Amino acid sequence: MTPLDMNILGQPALIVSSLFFLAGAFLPLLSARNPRISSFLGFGLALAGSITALAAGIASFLGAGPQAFTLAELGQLGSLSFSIDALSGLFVSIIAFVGAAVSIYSISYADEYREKGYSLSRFAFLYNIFLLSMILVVAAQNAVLFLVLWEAMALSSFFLVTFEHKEEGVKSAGFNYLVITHVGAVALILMFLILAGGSGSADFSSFPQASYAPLLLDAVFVLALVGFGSKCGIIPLHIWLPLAHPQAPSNVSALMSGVMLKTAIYGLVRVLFGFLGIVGSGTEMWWGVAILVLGMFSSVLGVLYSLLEHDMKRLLAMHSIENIGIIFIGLGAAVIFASLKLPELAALALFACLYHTLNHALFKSLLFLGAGSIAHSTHERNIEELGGLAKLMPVTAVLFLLGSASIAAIPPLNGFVSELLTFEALLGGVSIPAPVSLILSLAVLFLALTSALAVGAFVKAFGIPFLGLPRSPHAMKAKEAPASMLAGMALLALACIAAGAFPAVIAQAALGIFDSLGFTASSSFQLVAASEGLQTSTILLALVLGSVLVGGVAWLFGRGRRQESGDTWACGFIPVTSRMQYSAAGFAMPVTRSLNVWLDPLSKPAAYGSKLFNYTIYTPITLVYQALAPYSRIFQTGKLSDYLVYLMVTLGLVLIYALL
Amino acid sequence: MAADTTPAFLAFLQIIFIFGFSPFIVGLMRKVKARLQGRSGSPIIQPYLDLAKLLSKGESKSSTTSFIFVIAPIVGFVSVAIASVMLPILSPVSFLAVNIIVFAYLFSIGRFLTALSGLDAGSSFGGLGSSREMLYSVLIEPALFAVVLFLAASGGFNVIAPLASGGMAWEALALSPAHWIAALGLFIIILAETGRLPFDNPATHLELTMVHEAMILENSGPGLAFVEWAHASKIFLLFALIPIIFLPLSSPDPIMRSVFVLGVSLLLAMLTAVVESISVKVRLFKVGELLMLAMLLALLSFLTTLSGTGAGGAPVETALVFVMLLSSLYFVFSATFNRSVELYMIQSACLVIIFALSALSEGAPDLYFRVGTTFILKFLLIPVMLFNLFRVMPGEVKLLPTRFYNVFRATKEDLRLNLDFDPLFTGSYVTPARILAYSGILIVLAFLLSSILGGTTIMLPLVLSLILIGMLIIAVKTNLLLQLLGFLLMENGVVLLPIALPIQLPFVSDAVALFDVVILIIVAMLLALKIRGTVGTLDTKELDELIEKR
Repeated sequence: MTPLDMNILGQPALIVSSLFFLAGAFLPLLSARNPRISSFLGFGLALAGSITALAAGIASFLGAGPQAFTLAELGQLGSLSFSIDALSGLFVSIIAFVGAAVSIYSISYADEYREKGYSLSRFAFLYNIFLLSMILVVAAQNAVLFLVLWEAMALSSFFLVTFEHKEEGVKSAGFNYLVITHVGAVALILMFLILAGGSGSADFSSFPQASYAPLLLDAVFVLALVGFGSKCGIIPLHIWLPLAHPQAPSNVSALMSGVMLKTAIYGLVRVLFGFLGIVGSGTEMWWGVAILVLGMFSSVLGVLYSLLEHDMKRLLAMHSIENIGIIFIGLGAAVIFASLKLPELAALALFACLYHTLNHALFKSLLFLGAGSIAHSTHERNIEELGGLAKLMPVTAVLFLLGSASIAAIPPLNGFVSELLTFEALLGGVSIPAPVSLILSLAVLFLALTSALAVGAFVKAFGIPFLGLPRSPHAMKAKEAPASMLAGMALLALACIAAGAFPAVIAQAALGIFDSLGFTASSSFQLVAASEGLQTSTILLALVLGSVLVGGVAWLFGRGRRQESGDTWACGFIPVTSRMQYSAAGFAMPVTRSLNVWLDPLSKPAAYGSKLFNYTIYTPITLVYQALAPYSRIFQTGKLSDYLVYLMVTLGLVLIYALL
Repeated sequence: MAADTTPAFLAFLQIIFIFGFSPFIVGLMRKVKARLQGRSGSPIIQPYLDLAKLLSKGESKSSTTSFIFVIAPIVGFVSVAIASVMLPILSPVSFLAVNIIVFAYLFSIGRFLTALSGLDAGSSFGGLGSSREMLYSVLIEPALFAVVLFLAASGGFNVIAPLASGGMAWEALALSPAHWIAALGLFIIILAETGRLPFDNPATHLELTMVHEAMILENSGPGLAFVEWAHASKIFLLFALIPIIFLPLSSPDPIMRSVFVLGVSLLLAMLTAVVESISVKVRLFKVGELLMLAMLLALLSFLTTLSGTGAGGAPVETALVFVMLLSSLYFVFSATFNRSVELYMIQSACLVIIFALSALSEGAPDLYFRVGTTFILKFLLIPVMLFNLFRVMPGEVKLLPTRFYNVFRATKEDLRLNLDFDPLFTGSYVTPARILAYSGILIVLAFLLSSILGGTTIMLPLVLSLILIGMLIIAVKTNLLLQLLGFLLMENGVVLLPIALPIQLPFVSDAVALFDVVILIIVAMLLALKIRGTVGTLDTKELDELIEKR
């Protein structure tokens, strides 16, 4: 038994963690009378489950070998088994770590819903099922099991999104989410049908050995893109994101944005690199170009739309679109390089993509939890009504600042590391003959634009609510968040700093993933060197030490001199009122006006954001559907005899087909 | 032991070098500007005295500010200090060997925190400065990455080092126009990044015109000293980038290297002061056009380097074609007719020199004849005709639509313009920034076309770009005369095609083509005079309204 063999009580840690989650789901239902106990039980057990799952994930990630357990053997459908290999281990670790932090946060956060009269035991039930389904879906090794868990994830998140069902707009947002997620699920079912049809079994282990016709491969790719793309919110399948994320409770938004979107990335990586084995057998270049182009536009449009938003959570939801775009840029570049048989560059691009997945999970959940703290404290989500919170909620402010700096790619935090690795991967492809180098150069320019816009967007997102004067009575009465909420956020913030300062450690640990996906050892070896070349640990150390030194010297010298403090000078207007300071809309105006062409390509007023895509894509589809729908009524006669005839005809056809 | 401590010691010395000399650079810039303005100006060491004064004072803070206001100057200062060890100034290998993107991103720490501290005091001006600074950083970043693309294509991306130490020899680089155009683009970007005119006036005291200064209005005492010192050092570091990357700096001796870098930086500082004195601060929404120009220059160098073809033994001709291309791009901004004709004359002069050089190298008599006819027709006759046309037009030749001359009688409809979108100032249908963006796309197209046609030197894509950009100018300019000039620019490109492609055309076709051009100009001028006489304007937007609506 190696020390990394995670057997607790003789069972794999994954089973233990599932038991914790199931207990956390059902036990609170028994104590429904006492909300305090329900929430403590529910989230506490979720925390325990997350910690055990994290242990399992890290163990696999570090190469302890896949741990498997099987639920059932279903003959033709394959065996319903779970197994955590290196890639799954990474995602299980991400989900579990974020889940743990959010569970700590939720212990105090759920009180808000108790006050509003919602059932906390139901909340705990849905939350545990949601987390459990996410952890198991990345460990599933069978198509049927995967789809069942995917659906469980979708349904539990739907009920969580619509948890505050008494509020306006919640139900329509939830419905929108439900429809799009099921469109994606249909695409995934079709994809798995093609994959399983070609290999004869629904087990994931049978897919890499099967060979498919090129047309079927293209179909698999498109279906995977639609199915997983709708779940992770790539443009143009993103319209549910800005509707659903704000309506959900903040801890659920953190989980959805931070973790649920990542399961889709897992799915794409697994299909492309795991099942289809594109590193070994090559692939079409247009696949990579399609992913890259979708990523490019999602990243720029996502951050531009967020500049226009003033609802804290909608703003963060748009940023999720942006970051998924950046992840897709890395993934697209990896597929392009794989199709050109350049494994070193493909490994670097895939590493950048996975690293950004990890980082986004960390800082996005941190930011959503911060937004939740603000909403909890001020009952206000609109940043135009906030201000001056840094003095009233200092710890939250510091943690939110760390999250903002991470997402804005400020060195030496984690966002900077993954964005830089993405740049390096793209720039590595510059020596390839045109037109690939031109497409990659265009991607570099788009990524540069995105990165600069993100800095501005987060100066606005942090500066307007936290700095300056309060713009409303709500903001003046804010209080610091309770300890468990701060603890959850602090855990994520520390992880952000660590993920930024130690990229070489993460690269070393990730080598196992690349081995399992078909890369040779030599092509993945350079990842460690590339990560070290960023020198983020040196920069962090120098920054901290230097600031302490310089600050200390300045303070020492300043002690003897007169320090004054007074009102802000505003050209003679005393006192300065909160109306005199910049508003969020005004702050973003120069940028949105300069880049107007991106937002307003149809030159129709207010045709931006979800409205643009609604206008061009979704409304026409809906109208066509509604026009065709009455024709289906021909079959829906309402007479039992007709339906029996349908049954018998179908049965007859199936029998004939089976006999032939 | 000595070998271990020396790098750390040298790194520390480098920080002292940068921070020690940066106020001198700022002082020199101010002194040169003052002299050019006819004043004696404050002494060159004034910034040192200012820093000493600020460091000795106490701080006066607004009570609205939070911890951000306290930490922003300090962390910004330390981040610039860290950036200063990333450049290979005192030693050929930098002490913290990173690539140029890491170096550039390190400045974003200071920018992020300073922008936040601008919002911290709750004043309007702070927010104004932060918001504008964010706009600038958004516009600068793609341009900067276009330069990074050029560096990546030249192989000099992984560490910050002279391009001459990579694959290419210094002689080849010095003759390659792409090298210098990239340096020019980088210089424009540095002007924007450091907040000098024409992007931002560091000496203004009018808050509504400030960009960077507005963010730091509330800082005082030591905090302000750190901010100013860090800013000066950032200027020095960015100036130092140009000699480090574009000039061959290979000596390992720290004294030689530091003297070289300091010397070139001082020259760049003086050049900046001259540029500042002759330019005005551009309006906020026109900053994007200038930066788009810088991005285009960098992209041009990138594409040139990427195509891998060299000057092919004709460096002077290639440089002249680059000049022609740049003047075509500059045509986008030219608003007066005279300026446009002058640009055309510059192009014709380049053409004459190119033909003369090829005639000298080949010695055929008909080539000399071609030089002569080009000189007479394109450099003398056509510009004279155009200038005369300008003179004989009845009344004023207005390049802007009539209603702009009646601004006080303008109706509310007229005033419903987007102030950030005033194409009419340059007589075009769309903003100059968009024209430059389309030019960029056309240049990429030209490079792709030339690789299909099998061009061996860089001349073919450049000539194709000239033709395509000429066509673009015809399409976007609203004034008939400017469209005519666009046609002439395109024709210049066509004339160069036989040189770019290895085809030998007989001289007769040259002569006939030139003759045709002259006829065309005469016909166009007569048409323009007639239209002007009948309708009263040459603005095609107003002429469009003559079309009957069905």
